[in-house]
Amino acid sequence: MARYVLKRLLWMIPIALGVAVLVFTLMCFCPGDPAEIILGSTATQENLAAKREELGLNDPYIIRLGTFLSDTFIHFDLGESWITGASVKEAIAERLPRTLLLSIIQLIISFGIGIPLGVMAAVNQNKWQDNLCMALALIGISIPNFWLALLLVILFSVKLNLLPAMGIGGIEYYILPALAGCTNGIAAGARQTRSSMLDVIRSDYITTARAKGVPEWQVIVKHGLKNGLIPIITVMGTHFGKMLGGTMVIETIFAIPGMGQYIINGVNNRDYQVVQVGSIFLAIAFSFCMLAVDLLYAAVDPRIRARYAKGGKRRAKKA
Amino acid sequence: MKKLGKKLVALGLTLSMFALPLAGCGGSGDGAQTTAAGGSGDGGAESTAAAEVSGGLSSLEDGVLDIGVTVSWETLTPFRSNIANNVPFAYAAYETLAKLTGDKEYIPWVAKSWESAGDGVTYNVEIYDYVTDSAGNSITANDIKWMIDESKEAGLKPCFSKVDHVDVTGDYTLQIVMTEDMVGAFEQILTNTFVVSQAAYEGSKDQFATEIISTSSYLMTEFVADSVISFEKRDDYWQKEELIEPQNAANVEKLSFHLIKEASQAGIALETKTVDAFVQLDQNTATQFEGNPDFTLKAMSYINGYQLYFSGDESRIITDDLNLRQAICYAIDTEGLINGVFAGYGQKMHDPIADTSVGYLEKWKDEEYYDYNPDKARELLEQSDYNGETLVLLATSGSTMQRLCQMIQGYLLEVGINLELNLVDTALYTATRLDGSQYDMTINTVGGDSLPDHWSIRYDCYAYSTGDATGRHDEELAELLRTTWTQAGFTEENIDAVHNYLKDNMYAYGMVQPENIDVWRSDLGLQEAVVTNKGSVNCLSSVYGE
Repeated sequence: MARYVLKRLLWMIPIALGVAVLVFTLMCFCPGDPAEIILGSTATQENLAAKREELGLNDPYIIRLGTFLSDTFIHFDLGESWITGASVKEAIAERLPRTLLLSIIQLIISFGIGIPLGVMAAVNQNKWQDNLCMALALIGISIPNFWLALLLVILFSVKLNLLPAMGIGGIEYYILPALAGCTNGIAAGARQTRSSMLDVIRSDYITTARAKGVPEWQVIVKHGLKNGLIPIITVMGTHFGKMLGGTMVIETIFAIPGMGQYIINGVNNRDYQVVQVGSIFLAIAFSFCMLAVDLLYAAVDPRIRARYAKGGKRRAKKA
Repeated sequence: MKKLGKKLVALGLTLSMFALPLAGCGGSGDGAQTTAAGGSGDGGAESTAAAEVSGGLSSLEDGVLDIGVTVSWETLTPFRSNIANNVPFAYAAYETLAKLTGDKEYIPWVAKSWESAGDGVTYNVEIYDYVTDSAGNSITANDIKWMIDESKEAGLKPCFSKVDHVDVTGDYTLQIVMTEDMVGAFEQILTNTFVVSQAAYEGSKDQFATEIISTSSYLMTEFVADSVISFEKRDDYWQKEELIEPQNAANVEKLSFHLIKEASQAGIALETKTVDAFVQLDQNTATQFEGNPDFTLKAMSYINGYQLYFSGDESRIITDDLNLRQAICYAIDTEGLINGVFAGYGQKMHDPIADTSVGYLEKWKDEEYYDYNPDKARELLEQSDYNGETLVLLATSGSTMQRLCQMIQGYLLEVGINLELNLVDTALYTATRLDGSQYDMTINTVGGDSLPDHWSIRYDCYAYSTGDATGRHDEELAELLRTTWTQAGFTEENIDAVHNYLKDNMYAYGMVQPENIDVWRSDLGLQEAVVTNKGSVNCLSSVYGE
């Protein structure tokens, strides 16, 4: 198992490098002169030329790419924002925990509600409970986040005065953003769970368990859900990865200075350093999510666990 | 029975789908009224109905004046231009040598006095000899010279490129020599030089990015990039009480600025008392507070107007077709734009520059300036060489700009001009705007403390390698500008000549000068609002009720 984890961690190096090269190249060929954006519309030609030289924009692409890769991956120097001059490393260190917290809360709510809904729909297939759950899932997928966010604010902050409408602070500041951002997750969780459970509950071992007189809830949760978890975990992992980088709308509405806003502002301002480093960071975070998903597979399915262990031993023998 | 159950579930679902939106869409429910749009039309208008409630700053629950803003910040470094431009907390963070007030007057701040040596380029400046920062460092002329030199080298504030050199002539006196004789250029140095101690800056761990030491009457106590910045009044402020100008006064003990970019959330922040005031609130959001006695609205002329610049590049059909340019101007209903885009908060312009700039002549407001006249537009179009080609309008893609462009597109279509909108992000716009071959017209919001400041970056054909800011090479205009922007040539007659030249040749059309709306809780009893040159209330220096 440890060997497998190590192998996956090593795989992250080419992934991060690939993302770095791709993002760097895309930004390089984006229209828009960073020197002009930094200095503003009133800058003189001399100032612009000096700024381009300072930023290395006059160097050939390959030199710039090499410098960026060596600074980032060898010297671990993430540089400074070209627009604000603030350290990118510090900015990410400050913003990532907020986005992470928001994403974790969203994930908990999404799948805390989505999985039970999916189970209920599956065990009551084609009954009103099933229709209700799937209708809720449909609504969840269809509702735009920004619209729901404003409705939640008006209801819980303006009318009921229960939760803060915006800003950062304690955990209470993250409840409305998480609720507004989790409807897609709830829907995805419910639909995936229903689908997985429908496959599982028709299996022979479920019939056997029932025939042996195992209580129904145990049949559903212990035998059914546990075996149907693999695709649900995949959806959860992918969803979490997406949330890490895609909470820009929610962050803007709720005035949360997080990673989504940071990277989008970077793109709009052609702040190469911010976009490049931010993207690499998100790629690595996404890779970790996928690793966690694979490890969770092993945790819930002994067959996969055995396969990992077997694979490790076989390679050890060959060596 | 089963069918009935299904129907009930369906009914329940339908009701819940309607109930959720309705639960949110009913307004605040505690007195906030929404009224029809209708701005004041002229700068400085104030509306309140709450004279009887004026608890003053003592009515603040936590003793902190919370102010909502829409301009983001990520660093506090004194060399970055974003700090200088329109950031409402700039006055609390740093002091400058002098300040330009809302009345277009330069008043001393750290500088005690300044005078011209008479040659138009040399200026002598004296600073107070007892200026200290919050860490106790004394500020001398060497610190000021260092700051100007560094600003020039950094190149992030373009006004410093007009400084030739600075000589220290005494402990607290210095001589600033400019590169050319241009009205307002030296004054821009006075208002853009943030005063900090060189020793404090060099000792800073992050070059004042997140922690600053300045001479300001406020001490920064909290800074979260893109979220909140808080200040507390200093007990050891260097200036003598009797010498503090009212525009520089520190009348609030503690204050916090909160970044709220989303317009509807800004309104909610005021309603829920998350903030006590909001600076530069979106005009359409501001209308919801009109007539509400709990809030005071103050509408002030914005320093930048929305201007339509016509391409000067020879490849565009519009460049040599004055009739077409004039037809476009007559076809645009600026009053319609004010009501449709800015909720009535704005005024028609009479020159491409806003009326807040130093040198603007009030008499222009009485002149006929391409007032909306579709018939005249059609007539001019007949006389033009236009044959139904599709013209291109380049602009940024922000929501306000989009609405503005769409309305202009409609107005032009009405008289028979086809217009294609090319709305791009700010970065792409910045990269394209000087290339007149890419568009027939472009919308910009270029301001300037003074007329020469604006002219030099827009119409001077020697300013850019491609000509002026739209690729035009009009040497006659350049000559006129160079005569006018010197100290000796900056006469009403010359200024008027430039205005008329631009108007007659229609290189640029001033459309709308919107108003900034600041909204305050009425119970703060804002008695005397000090207005900044940026067209918003200076919350630090304003006078509140007791």
